[in-house]
This record gives sequence, C-alpha cells and structure tokens, in this order.
Amino acid sequence: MRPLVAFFDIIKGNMPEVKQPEIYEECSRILKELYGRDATFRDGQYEAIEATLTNLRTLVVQRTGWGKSLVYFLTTKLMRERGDGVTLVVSPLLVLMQNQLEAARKLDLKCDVLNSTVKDRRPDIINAMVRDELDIVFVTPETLFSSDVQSELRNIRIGLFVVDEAHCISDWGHDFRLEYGNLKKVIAELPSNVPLLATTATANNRVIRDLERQFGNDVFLSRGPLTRESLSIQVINMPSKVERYAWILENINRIPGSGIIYCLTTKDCDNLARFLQENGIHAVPYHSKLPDEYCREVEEDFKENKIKALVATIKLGMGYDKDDISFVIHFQLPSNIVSYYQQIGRAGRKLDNAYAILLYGEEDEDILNYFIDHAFPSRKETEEIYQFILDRDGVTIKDLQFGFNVKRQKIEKVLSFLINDGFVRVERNPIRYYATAKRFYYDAEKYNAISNIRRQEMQEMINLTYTDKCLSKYTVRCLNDETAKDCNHCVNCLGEEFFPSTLSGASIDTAKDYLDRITLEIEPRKQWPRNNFGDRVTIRQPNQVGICLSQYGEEGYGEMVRQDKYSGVERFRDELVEKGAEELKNLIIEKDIDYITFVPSLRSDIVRDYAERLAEECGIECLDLLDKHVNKPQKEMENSYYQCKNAFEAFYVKDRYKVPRKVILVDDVVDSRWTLTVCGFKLTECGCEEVYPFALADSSGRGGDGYE
Amino acid sequence: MSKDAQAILILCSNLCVGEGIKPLKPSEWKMLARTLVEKEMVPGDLLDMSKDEITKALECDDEFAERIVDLVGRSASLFFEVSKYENMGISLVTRADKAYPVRLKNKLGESCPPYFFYAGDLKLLKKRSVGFVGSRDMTAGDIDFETKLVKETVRRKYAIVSGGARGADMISEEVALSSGGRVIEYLADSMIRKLRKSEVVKAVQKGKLLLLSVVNPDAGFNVGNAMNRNKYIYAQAEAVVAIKSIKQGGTWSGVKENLKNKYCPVYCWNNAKYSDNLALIKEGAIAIDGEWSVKDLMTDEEFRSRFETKEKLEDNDVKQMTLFS
Repeated sequence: MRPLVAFFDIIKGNMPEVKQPEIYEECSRILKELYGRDATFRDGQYEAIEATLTNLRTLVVQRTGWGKSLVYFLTTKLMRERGDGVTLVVSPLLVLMQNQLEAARKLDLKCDVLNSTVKDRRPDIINAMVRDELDIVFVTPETLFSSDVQSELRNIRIGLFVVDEAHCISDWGHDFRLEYGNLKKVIAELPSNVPLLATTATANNRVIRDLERQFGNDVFLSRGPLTRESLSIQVINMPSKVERYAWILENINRIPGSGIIYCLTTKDCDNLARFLQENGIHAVPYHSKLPDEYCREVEEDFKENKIKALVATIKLGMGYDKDDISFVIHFQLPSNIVSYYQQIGRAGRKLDNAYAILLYGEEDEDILNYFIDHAFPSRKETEEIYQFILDRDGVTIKDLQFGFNVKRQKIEKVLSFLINDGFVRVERNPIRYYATAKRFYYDAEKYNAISNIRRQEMQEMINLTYTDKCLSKYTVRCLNDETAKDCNHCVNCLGEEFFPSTLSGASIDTAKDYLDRITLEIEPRKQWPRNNFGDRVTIRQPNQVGICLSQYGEEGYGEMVRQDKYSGVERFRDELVEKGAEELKNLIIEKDIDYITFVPSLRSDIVRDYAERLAEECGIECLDLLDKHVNKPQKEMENSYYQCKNAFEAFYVKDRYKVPRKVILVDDVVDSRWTLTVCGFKLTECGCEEVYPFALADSSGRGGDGYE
Repeated sequence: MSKDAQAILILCSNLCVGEGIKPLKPSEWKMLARTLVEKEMVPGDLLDMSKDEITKALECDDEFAERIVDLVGRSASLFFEVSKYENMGISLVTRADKAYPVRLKNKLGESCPPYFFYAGDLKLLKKRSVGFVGSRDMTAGDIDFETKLVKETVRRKYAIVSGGARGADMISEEVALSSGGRVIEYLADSMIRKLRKSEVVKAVQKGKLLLLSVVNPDAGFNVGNAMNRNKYIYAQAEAVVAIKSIKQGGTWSGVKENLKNKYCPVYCWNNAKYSDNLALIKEGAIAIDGEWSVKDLMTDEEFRSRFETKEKLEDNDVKQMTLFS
C-alpha cells in the first residue's frame, strides 16, 4: 500500500525557508486557525505566500493536490486583515470555481463567483465587491472582461490578483485560450505594487520561461515534483474504433468506482456514451455542446458516484476536483503529454490506486493534425478581412459575410485573432468592427513555430505508446520534472497488464452492430440566409427531419462512401443501398411514402444510380423531378449566403405535374444543407407537402466532428 | 511603463475614479512633485508605502496620505483600463517618460499635464511644426487661403499642429496628409470617435498623424477641455497661423491667451472683411497675406520683443525640470 496522499492532510515537510519572520509568524497563526492546530506547511507553500506578500510576481508550478489554493486562501486572509482589497481569482472553468468556492467558504472566507451561471445575481455580487464586503471572488476571463464588470472595476479595490491555470496565458502552452489574451495584456501592464500569484500544475520549461518573461523581473518560482503516486498507467494499442468500444464494454466494470473516459470530439462522446448506456452501463456524455444546466446536473451526479463514467472532452479538464475518481480512460490520444498528464491527474486524488488507461487508434493522428492545422487562420483570409475592415469606417459581421465567400465561423475566428492581437476593436450597440491604430502584420513565423512545437508535442505523446520504460517517469520527464524516478507500478515497470489487451468476439460484435446502426439526423434549415437588410426570412415549408447514414470518411459506412465516390466506377456499393433501405424502412411505412427523388448533377450520375437502386430495394418508385443549370460546385461556396444563392440559381423542377405529396430526396454527401433545402423548397413550391432528405454521408463537421 | 510613470497615472488619472476617491488635480500634483524633488524621492516610491510612511516622508497631513493610499489601492483596476486602451493602439505617455512632448515641458513648465493619451508615432513631436487654427465655419475663400499656406508649410517639411476640430483644423489635417505632410493633433474630445475613420487610422498607422489628448479616449466634447487644449498647440508649434477668428470663439481665446503668454509667434490673416482678425493684429498678432511662408518665421525672442515697448516682460521662472515634475 502506498501512503495516502490527501488534500487537506498537511504532511510534515521540511522547515520552510523564512526570510521575514514576522510574516511567518502571522502565516502560521492563520494556518492553524484555518486548518487546525497541528497543521504545518507543505514544501514550498510558505515560501510562495511570503513571495506573494512581498509583492513578488509568484509562479507556482505544483502537482494537483499539492495545495495551491491554500496559498491564496491564506494570503487573502492575511491581506484582508491588513486592510487590502479583494482577491480576484481568474479561473477558466466553472466546475473548478464551484469546488474552490466551497473550499473557501469552509475557511470562513467571504466569497462568490462571477460567471455565466450567476447572471441575475451579477449586479449584487459586483456591488458587494464595490462595498468591499467580499474576500475572494472567482471570475472567468470572459466575465472579467464583460462590460458590466469592467465598468464597475474602477470602484473596486483589488488586493491580490490570482491567475489560476496560468499556462493558459502562454501561446506556447498546450491549452492557449484566446479569452486569456486580454488578461495577458493586463498582467503586462500591472504595476509592481499589485501582488500577482499565478498557479498551474501543468507547465513545462518552455511555458515557465514564457510566463516568467511575461511577468517581468523578480519572478519567484515555486516548483515541485509532479509525479502522482497513486496512478497506475497502462497503454493499449487498439487501431479500430470497434475494438476500443468493445474493450471499454468488457473492462469498465472490472474497474471499481467511477471515472472519466476522454474523447477528442463531442460526437465520439455522444456515441460512446449511448453505446455504453445501451449495454447497461451508466455512462453520460459531457462536452461543450451540451447545455450548462445539464452539465451541472451531471457534475453533481458524478460527484455523488451515481454515474459510472463521464464520457467527456477536454471541457472536463483543469482543476476538476473530485477526489475519488478511480479511472481515466483515453478513448483517443490527447494532443500532448501535458494534456495527458493533466487529464490522468483527475484520478486518484484520495485513492491509494487509480487507473489511467490509454487506448489509441489509427484515426487519432489525423484528428490531432486537424487541430494543429486549423489552430490559426490563414494569412490570406486574415489579410483580406483586415484590409476590408481597415478600408471602411466600421463594419458588421453581415458586411463581412457579404464581402467574403468564407464560412461565418471562419470569419469569426479571424476576427477573434485580430481582436486578440489588438489590430481590430469592437464597439457595441450596435456591434461594429474597426481597425485600431496598430499596424497590422500576420505573424506567420510565430504561428509556424507554435504549430511545429505542437507537432513535436504530438510526437512526444505518440512516443508514450511505444516506450518500454516507466510510463509515469516518461510522462513527468516530458514536463521537465527531472526528479522523476521509475514508478514501479505501471505496466512497463511491473511487466504485466492490469487489464487484458485482447478481446472476446461477443463484445466486438456488439460494438460493430452499434457502430453500424448509428445514423445521423439531417436537421432541416428553417430560415433563409440573411438578406441585404440583415433580415432572416423563415422558409415557409421547410424539409422534414432527414436521415444521414454516416460521417463522411469515418470508419464503416463513411469510409465506404468516400471510397466509392472517388473510385471512378460511378457506383455506390450494394452494401450502401441495403443499409439505406434498412434505415428508410420505418420511415416509409410510418409516413406512407411512395416516391424517391434525387439531387441532379451535371457531372456524375452516381446519385441517380444510387437513388434508383435504393427505390427498388425499398419497393417504391424513383422519380426524376429536378434538373440543374450549370453552376459552380457547391463545395466552393463557403458561407450560407453564397451557398444558398448558388443552389437557388442552379436547381429547378423540370416536370411540376409529377411532383408527389410526399417524397424522399436523396443526395450522396450533405454539407451546408443548402442544396437539400433549396431542392426541397422548389418541390414544395410545386405542391409537395413533405420532403424527407436522405444522404449517405455528412461532411459538414456540424455536430459531426465536434472538435474541442 | 516605468514605475514612476505608473505612479503618475495612479495618482493623477481620472480613468479609475471611484466613489469618494479623487485623483490629484494638476495643481496638487505640481505641489506633490515639488515636495518629492525636495525630499529626493521619486513618484514610484509612493506605491510601496503605508499611510504612516507617507505622512512621515512627505510631512503631509493624514488626509492627503490616505488619499494617496486609496489611489494606490486602485492600481489593479486602473491598469485594466490602461490595457484596454493599449489594445486599441492608444497608449499613455507621462511626464516621467522621455517621449513626453518636450516642447510642452519647456514652455508650459509645471502646468503641462501629467500624462497624454496618444495614438501614432511620438517621434513626430521632434519635427519642426506650425499650428493652424481657425473657425469651424469656413467659407470657400477661407479654405483656399488655408490650403495655400498649409501646402507651403508642408512643402518646406514642417509638420502641422492642429486641434482636430471641424472647420479650419480638419482642413489643415486633410490638406497636409493629402500632400504628404505630417500632422500632430491635440484633441479636445473623443480619440476613439476620431479613430473610427478609415483615413485617420491609416494615417496614424503610417506614422503621418499623431493624436494626443488629455481626456479619456471615450470622453465627449467639453468646452473646458477645448480651452485647455489650445495652449498645447501653441506650445508645440514654432508658430501658429490663425486663419479666421470670431470674437468669443475658441480661436479667439487661444490667440489672446498666446498674446498674453507668448508661447510662440502668432500670425493672423490680414483680411479687411474679418474685423476680429484685425483686432487680434492690433493686439500683437503678426499680419500676413497669402504670400506668407514658413521660411521667414519669427523667433520667440523677436516675437516677444514686439511687446517689450508696451510692457515689461515678466521674468519667466522656468526652472530646471526633472523628468517627472
């Protein structure tokens, strides 16, 4: 049995290095008041407090569970006794805040949170800060820079400024967040008489150096060993998704307690959670596309061990504080070792033993490369959008959408970079974008450097799956903790598996069935794109909810669609026809549908061919209703306005007297849904009442990939 | 930003004035700066001192020391504001900075403001420059006259100093920029509003236009600010040309103030139709016509000597300035 490492169990450390005895005396007094008579400081805690109190920029890099919050709780207590202002703790995640709020309340600190969950109470909280009634306020960067907080900030005395998860302000960190951009600038300007305490559990040398540079001179660095004794690591190579589904199904109940399964995409979370549920395992998805309220309920249930597994993206990440998580399974590779370390660090805080199982598959590298390649907007887009703004006396998003054939999300992404770098500013009511007085430049060199580092870090992560050395030591060494030794309890150290890396046939079949079965809905568009006046017009008779067989290119049907579409044979394989018919069977019976039609193409007959075979398989008739003028390929149209316009000008009904009351509208690959929307609309104009879209694959990434 | 510069902002700026806390007025800062020089201290020292330490060091009353401590307590909040503007390309320059408009320091002495907001290249301040002032309501003839003079000034590589208001100010700005010149503007109102204009932003980015202002970048127009602003134009420029002045207007009071303080030579269009122009010429402004050129500018001394027969020049007690005083 390894020793119990507990959060508030203040183990006897070495005698702290005291530079200012009077501060030490006071700190010891408060420590005993807050944590009991026998409490002593853990290695480095006192030194960090003393540094903070003597106005040094203090950077604490210590493993989760070391007691970073003790440092600022205690410092706050002392500063408040001295008559200083409120402690502002900037923290990126809601879950983390809730946990810390509770911890702070136990210590009799008057505290509150400022984030999106307390919308109604916000004015009260801000007023309490103005009246100097609060000791600590936890705030998200988004809220901190929102106008209601900013406008009252001038009336608030800030005593101590704490930046939690400080690696987020480093461009070189594994988890740089744009919302931290403003914070970074404030820190750069912050006068030296305001104490700054930055904390993180996950920073390698490069990030630490960057933070030190940002904080200016005289940074006090508190850095301790990162090894987590209670974690037992195993790595299992499972190229196919089916196998990984099967593995989790077979093994999850062999692990006692509850835990987290990390996926890279929201889609994977949903699918895997549903699969486990169907097989009697209480697993629930948790990611950024789910409503806040739902997430809070899930957190609550998880905390009370009512859930076996949270199937989560990185949304469940930093600082989540449940101390009896007994396993973390990675369904896919995290993007780098730092994320990996952080995620497995969720487990086993108060347990003697917890498992960290890394499954990795063949698609992981593609997904990770996608993240890296799409992290920064391209030079061309950025320059063009900037120039467009610079040439005008204020522009709206709508202006940009009309001006550019670029996805709205892409425009927004470019804008967020331009704003973060201070090249563009926003005025509200109404929202207008202006170029600032700063001269624009596209920092390709920096973006390339960051992308290169991310690729290296990905390689480091991949290397973990090959190493035969101690997995814990490998991980921690990648975070530049040179003190790490062999853990003696990972699979490589022990030379034996905790859980088998082989599977039984039964679970593979279950997984395969499931993955084949999951189809996607095609949500109908209900509004036309904004017109020149910025109005959105409702589509009078939108399509019905449609069916899509697969994610384009994804293992199973998605892969088949990709192969067949470009095979040159001009024919989708029979398997896809059978599968299509199977999916449509219920719908055809339920809705009493007699006809199928298809989206015409001037370039290829592959869709017509498929629709005809599908109709035959379903036992209904295929009608050739639509035709098309020459236009540009829809996939070259990047935003709603252009996609819809392009489709609208191209398609027409060639024989209106044949249009039936109900019809299934077939296309091969759906992306923006404008083609299906426009074709459906033209059919309804000719008297059709219900149009049911059907597509073989979805390539939009909408809800599809759901990369986080 | 240096610690002294930070201290000046913390103590003097009204960017972050909460209830019950007042930043130091320019006159109060003047007094404090003198005391600091006397005690061989720098403004940054005040940031790390307790109330008692301040009382002792400055030999001031408790109330004043408490005010300083309160202002210092707002430091963090204040720099949220500073960084907000910084991120829009609007920076601050304080009297503790070398880049502070040095001609203002020399000519206005202690009464020049503790800090300026600015956008653009401060190096423009080193250029020789001539100010152009005048009414907001300009006739075609006024515009022609001003255009001719501004072009001549730009041709001789002088920068233009202006107040950035409508009318004569805008004309000098536009003419100068379109003929390849440089412009320094001391604004009396919102710098942000000014920076909504594409042409303005481009000129600032290219280093051709420098905007300076003592008022918060999002503040509106205020007559008091506009009056104060006049003397910055006269102190910055080697000479000022008044195109058209109407009694009781901003140009009028600016010229009058300069005739009294003689920051720099002031020229005025000798136009028989503008009686108020003639009145200013009578009081000492130098009469000019369309043939005027910067090549024969009067020096400050020559300008002052025009008045010496009428009045005994008071001794100007411009002391040796330290960086922040």
